[in-house]
Amino acid sequence: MKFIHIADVHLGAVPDSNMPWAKERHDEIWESFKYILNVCNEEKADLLLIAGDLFHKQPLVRELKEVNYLFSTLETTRVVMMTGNHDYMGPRSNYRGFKWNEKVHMFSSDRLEAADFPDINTTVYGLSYMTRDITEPLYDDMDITAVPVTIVRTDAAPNHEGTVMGTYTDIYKETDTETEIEADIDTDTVTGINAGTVRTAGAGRIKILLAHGGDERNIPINRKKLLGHGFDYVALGHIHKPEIISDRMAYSGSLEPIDKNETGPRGYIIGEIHEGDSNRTEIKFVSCCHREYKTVVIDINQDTTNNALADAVKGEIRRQGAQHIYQVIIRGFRDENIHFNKEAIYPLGNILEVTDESVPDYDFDALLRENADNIIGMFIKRINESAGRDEINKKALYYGIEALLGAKEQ
Amino acid sequence: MLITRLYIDYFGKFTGREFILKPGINIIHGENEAGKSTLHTFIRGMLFGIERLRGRGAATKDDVYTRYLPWDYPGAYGGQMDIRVKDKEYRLKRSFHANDKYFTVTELATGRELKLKEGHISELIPGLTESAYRNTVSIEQLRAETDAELASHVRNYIANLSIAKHREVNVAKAIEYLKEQKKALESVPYARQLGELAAAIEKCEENEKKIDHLTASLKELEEKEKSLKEQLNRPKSPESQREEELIAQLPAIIEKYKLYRDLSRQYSQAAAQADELERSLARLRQHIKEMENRQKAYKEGLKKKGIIYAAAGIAAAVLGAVLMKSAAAGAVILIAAAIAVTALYALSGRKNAEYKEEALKAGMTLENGEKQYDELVGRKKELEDRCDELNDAIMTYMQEFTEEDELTPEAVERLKETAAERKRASESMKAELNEKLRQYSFQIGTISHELKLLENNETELIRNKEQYEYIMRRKRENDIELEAINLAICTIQELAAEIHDSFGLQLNKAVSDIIDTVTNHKYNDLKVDEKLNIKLIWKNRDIVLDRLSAGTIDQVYFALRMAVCDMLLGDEPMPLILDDSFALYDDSRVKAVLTEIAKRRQVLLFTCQTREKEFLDELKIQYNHIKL
Repeated sequence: MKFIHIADVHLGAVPDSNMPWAKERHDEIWESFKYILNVCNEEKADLLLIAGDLFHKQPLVRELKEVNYLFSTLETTRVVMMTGNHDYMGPRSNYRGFKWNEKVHMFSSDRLEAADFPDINTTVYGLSYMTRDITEPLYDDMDITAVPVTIVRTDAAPNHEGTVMGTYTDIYKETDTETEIEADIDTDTVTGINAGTVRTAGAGRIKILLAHGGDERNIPINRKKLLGHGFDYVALGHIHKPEIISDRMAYSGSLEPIDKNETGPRGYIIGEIHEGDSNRTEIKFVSCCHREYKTVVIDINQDTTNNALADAVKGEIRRQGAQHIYQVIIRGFRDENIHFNKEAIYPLGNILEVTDESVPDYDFDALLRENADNIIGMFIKRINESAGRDEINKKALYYGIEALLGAKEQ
Repeated sequence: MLITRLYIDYFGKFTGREFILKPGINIIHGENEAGKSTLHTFIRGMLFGIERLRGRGAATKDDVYTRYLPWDYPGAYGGQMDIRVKDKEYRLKRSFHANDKYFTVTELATGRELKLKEGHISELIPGLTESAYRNTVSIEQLRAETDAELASHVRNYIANLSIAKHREVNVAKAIEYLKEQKKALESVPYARQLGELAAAIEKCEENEKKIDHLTASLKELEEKEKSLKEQLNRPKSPESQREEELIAQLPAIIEKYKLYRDLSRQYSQAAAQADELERSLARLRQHIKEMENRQKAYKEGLKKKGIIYAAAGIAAAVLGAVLMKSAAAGAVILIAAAIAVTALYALSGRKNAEYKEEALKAGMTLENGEKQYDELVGRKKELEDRCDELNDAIMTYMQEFTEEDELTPEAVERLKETAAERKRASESMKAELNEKLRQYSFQIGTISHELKLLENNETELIRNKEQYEYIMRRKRENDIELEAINLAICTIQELAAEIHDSFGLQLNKAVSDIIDTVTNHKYNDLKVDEKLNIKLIWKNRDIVLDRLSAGTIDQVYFALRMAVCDMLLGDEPMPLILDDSFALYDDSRVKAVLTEIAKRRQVLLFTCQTREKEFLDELKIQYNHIKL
């Protein structure tokens, strides 16, 4: 069974909103999303798992319609999605009552439920965020044996909310060779039936958990416990940095970096679960983001002038890629009389921030010696002795020395 | 600095004269006019040069240059001075002549000439300016009092700590620079921006609540609208259907009623007619009966009459006959009677025929009348039936609406009213529902519109929050910079104050010490401020200097100058050059002062007296004696 796992798409977000590239980045997120749907089609994936925060905020109806249309272009893939803490399903959420097309199954309860896909022998478990914050670790101790199951088939006629009822009448139980499902054909969901114990070995249903969380305000996650549940794959969302925790559990990270602290590549996880005596999962992270946030440190010395600095920045940008978004840090000891003009750096590329950590090249020992008996020397000594934060003292030292040296009678 | 040798080429009255000076006290003894002042001036000139005064000053005797210009060889106006600075021996060579000025400093050990950037001695001995020299090192006759220049030197010193020119730091300038940077950093209105953003965020969050509220209301309204529409579109219940039908029938019933009235009238008419006809028929019958009776009576009468006539006739005849004893008479009478009877019968026959005709006529009329009557009755019955029918129908109908016993116009009016009312009621209810529906529609429209306007609120909220974070960060960075600048400013100010204070303390102590010695412990507590105003503290009271004797004042200033000299030029201990300074002192004070100045590295004591020498001998203080 082949699947694509994404999360934290944040459609609608406008990263770096006060920068000139903000609108472009907003559109790039949509482009990336469409690209993933292409990947699903090309790879002929069976499932697209979206682990929450598809939207950056509670979605508008027209946004839902756009996405619904895009989902309808999927050929072999079906979508299983949940809401996260950003696009949570609050009382006024437009998710409520929205009719997704039959390829989409969305968890719409804050209690664990399951979607069963008999044609690919897979059950996906998950819940959705109904409030912005959830502080209980809902995934740590789950009892997945008493979970309502919705059976999703695409060959029967659709009758409500895009999911279709199967017409199975067999008991859903784990056997050594196959799994069968008991369904009450009069009601819409199957409840209270043993939806199968999770087994780590033996032929059985592929069990996937779709989960969103990992910090104290959004479902804290105990990784060990989660791995112990025995899912064939746990598709995690909420942390924007991709992280493969094991071959059965991973954060896919966001498709595009949203915030300047999200450095590094972003993309999706593509995986395959091979059924057998014990199911074997293979996953791989693929980067597909349009651009990354990068931090560039420019080391300068006393010979570095403003133009030299600008050239260094330009060179780095060219080397690493002009499409990326940079934060420039200037470090080193500069000539005492030179002040770096930060404003001249910004137009050189997609530069979010320039931080000047360079300091004038004062030889404090020499200064101390030469000025032992005057206020400069006394100042150096006094600052070095003063309590308080080193950072402030250091800066005060530089400020004071610059002022005092500048006020020296020639 | 130690002056070791003086060599005068030509200066004033001296030509080619050499003086060897030693450390410690050097008494340069000369009578008045021997050249003490000249030498004094020479030393100063060697250090700082002598400028010829321009213009009118040139003619005055204050013009130093002219005063000492040698009479014999003006060209050789100059000399040499050997000094020791920090263990190095230097030779100062200077020519004062305006046309051939030069000033060189040569290191004697190496023979190397020192390159002085500006040709000023202060480059060799930091802080040694002419004014400093004149106010501290060189104490001329009766000029112990400090002048404004000294005060300003002291002030500068206080501000800068070091009089060394290349190490002087203008603290005020430094602080000004820092304050300007601070102002630049403070100029960004972070607090205001944050305030504005916080207000905007609050507004957005209020709007979010509003949106939640509105959405709930909207859902409620939509539910209501839906149920109302259902209600309106529901197939009419049989009852209301029936009601409608009933009400719809009203006009027909009214028509029926009209018809009923009409028919009733007709019926009444017919009834009346029938009655009348009946009456007339009855009359007619009566009449016929009467006629018959009459006829009968007539007949009877006739009969009777006839009989009577006949009888009478007979009788008459008989009588007549009897009477007249004629049968003829009697026959005549009988014929007469028979004619009468025949006439009678003939009349009666006509009358009978009349009667018969009349009876016939009457009989026909009666028959017609009866037929008519029958018809009329028939019609009446018909009408009655129809009226009853109508009445039934109308009453039945009316029972649906009102309780009526009989069909009267009032009843019909009430029916009309009731029906109309019920129609109104049902219509108004419908209208009400429709109105409510309209209202709901309108409200839904309004709310939808409002929600649409607020559509972008969440986006704005997020954006504002991000902006707020960003500005917060910037502000924090800014605050750190400000903290650093403030620390720098504070520290510099603190140091300056400390220096100031320490200077004050130092000066006070130094001056107090000197005064103590010089006045033989009479006064030992002085307070000097930065303007070099002096207060003596004696028995816990401030005594302004003027209260003391001139001699004491002089001593105080002397002590002050020495102390200041040491402070300002403390790096390099300077010789003290005294030119008849102790003229006003009494013996004991002179001794005291001599003891004090003996501590110094070098003192050049120009005097015309011998008492200093004597006292030094007495005090067993070493000295070098030079006679001019």
